[in-house]
Amino acid sequence: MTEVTSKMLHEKTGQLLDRACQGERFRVVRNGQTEAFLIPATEAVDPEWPQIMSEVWKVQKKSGPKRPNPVLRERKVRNYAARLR
Amino acid sequence: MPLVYADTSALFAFFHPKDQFSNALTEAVRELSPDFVYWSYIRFELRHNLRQSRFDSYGELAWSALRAAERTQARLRWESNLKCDSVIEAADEFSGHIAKQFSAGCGDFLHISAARRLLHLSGINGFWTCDAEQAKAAKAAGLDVRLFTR
Repeated sequence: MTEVTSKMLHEKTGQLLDRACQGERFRVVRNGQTEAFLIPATEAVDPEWPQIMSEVWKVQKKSGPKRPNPVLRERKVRNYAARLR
Repeated sequence: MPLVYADTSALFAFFHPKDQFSNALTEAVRELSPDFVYWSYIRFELRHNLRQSRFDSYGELAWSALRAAERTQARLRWESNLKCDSVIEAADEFSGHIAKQFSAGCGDFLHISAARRLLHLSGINGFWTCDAEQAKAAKAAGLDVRLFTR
């Protein structure tokens, strides 16, 4: 994804739209923050989290035991320095 | 959309429905609808842990959700500014300053250094983790930390 500033978007709107029509995607940045995306009209807009996570969230609601977080478990095992304190 | 740096402990909990922190993460995402920072180290660490959890239907579900999120441009936002070499350099420097004060491990320092870099480059709206030791070091690094507990 190509990064463009809001100033560039203002000054080169036509050029950027032409490039977007050809499939390029842009991230529009203002004051260092991402404010918008410019993507080809032929592409679907990204789904939101509820769409992506719908099946996970359905299962999550069901009761049952939870499991220890494996990332934390691995870190604890590796954290020799902490054990020596 | 706010952009949040979620450490792998938090992202794993978000994707895996049976993780001990999964409810807290889901609630936070429903509240804020953030996009998450994604770069090579997080991708490796997250995929590795989710691959190892694919021994039942819950793990499969989590893996499918991750792959769907990876296909988006925004929900997991690939940050090309985060290059392994330079983040490791920054983490080493950061460790040199505060390693003795915190028991966080070297992976934790990588995440914190990556988040600091983004904070200074383009801004992020927070640092999420389930790891209390990492949260302490992240606070010391000036990050706006949200620690998830059960």
